[in-house]
Amino acid sequence: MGARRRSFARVQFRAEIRSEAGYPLFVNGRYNALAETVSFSLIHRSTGRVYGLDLGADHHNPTCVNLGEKHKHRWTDRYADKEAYVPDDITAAPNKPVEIWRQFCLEAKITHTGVMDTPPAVHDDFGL
Amino acid sequence: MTTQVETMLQDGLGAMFIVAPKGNLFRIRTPFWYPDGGVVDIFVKDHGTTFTLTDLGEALGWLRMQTLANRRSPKQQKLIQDICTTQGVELFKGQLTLRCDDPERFSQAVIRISQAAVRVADLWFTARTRSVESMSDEVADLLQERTIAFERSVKLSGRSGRDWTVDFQTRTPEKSALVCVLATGSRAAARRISEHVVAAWHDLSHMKTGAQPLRFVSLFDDTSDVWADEDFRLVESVSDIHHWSRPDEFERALVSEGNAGR
Repeated sequence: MGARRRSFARVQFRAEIRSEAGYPLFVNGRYNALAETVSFSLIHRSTGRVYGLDLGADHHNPTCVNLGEKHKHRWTDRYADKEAYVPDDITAAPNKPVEIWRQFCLEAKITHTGVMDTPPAVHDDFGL
Repeated sequence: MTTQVETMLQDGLGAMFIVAPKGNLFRIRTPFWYPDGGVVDIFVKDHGTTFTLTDLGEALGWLRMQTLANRRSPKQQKLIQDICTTQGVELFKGQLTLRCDDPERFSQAVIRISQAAVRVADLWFTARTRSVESMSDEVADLLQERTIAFERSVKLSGRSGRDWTVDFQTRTPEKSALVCVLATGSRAAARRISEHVVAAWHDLSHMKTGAQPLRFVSLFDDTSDVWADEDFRLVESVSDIHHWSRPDEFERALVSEGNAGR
């Protein structure tokens, strides 16, 4: 997978998703080891994010419900991508991005034919 | 330390900010939200006599996750610099940071960096996937800012008799130019667009000669990683190519004599 290292503490990638229907979809991923946050987002070229998983940061729904640090966004006509729910299928801890990616792909029915490497250990602290 | 940070926040802001240890940092969960409802977290490192506040790159990371762009556009860069100036925040290694050496001003520093994070993330509202602004709008903004006179969507007749719409015609005291903007988020469309531009330049090639020759400039939106080397070579054969990520070079091509190509 075309991972791009932003720093030792942050990694991110982007990949095109091929589908029989030919939807213009991409997946963006990022892992911030210091903040302990993980995100995977499915981006539709003309719409933006239509589906996504966030771990490690809290979320507030438009209906004023706080969901906690594990939530998935799913597009709805009413709220676009702002409404999220707590998924049962993601059980890996935020410091296990490879395992989270596997669980995310399974639920989103994405077949990843490549390899996602474990992010390197944190060697810096962003110069803090 | 937790007590000190908590005390400083409680004194200045109240209980809406929740502090918790995070490794060798402290995380402050703020009442501010990203555009999708995600909660803004700020992190604090205690250096003894000073504190460093940072978002650990979460705001720019959030922004990047919502779009297909590989790079921030020149306009976004400028807006981010403006936000940092307003809030007195430093952008370092992709993170918003702020030093604070006065405990009495700690709460104010938290508000400032939180506001910067929200404003940076709010640039999403101007992103092209939101269909609020097109690439051509951004180019028009740049030309206006650099005081280069221009006309948009110029219709010109080719040698074949076909009419072509060129995105911009620019004019400076030294030179006039026609500019075609190549922008797409799709690799499949990239080749088609390149070929269309080549056809247009070829059919309009008579305008490159004569008493008032026009320079042909093809401006690639390289914030999306969709262009192949062949696309650049194809278009380069009939025009000067420039990259949106390097606006200064693009500007020089429009204002100076001679070739200022790729």
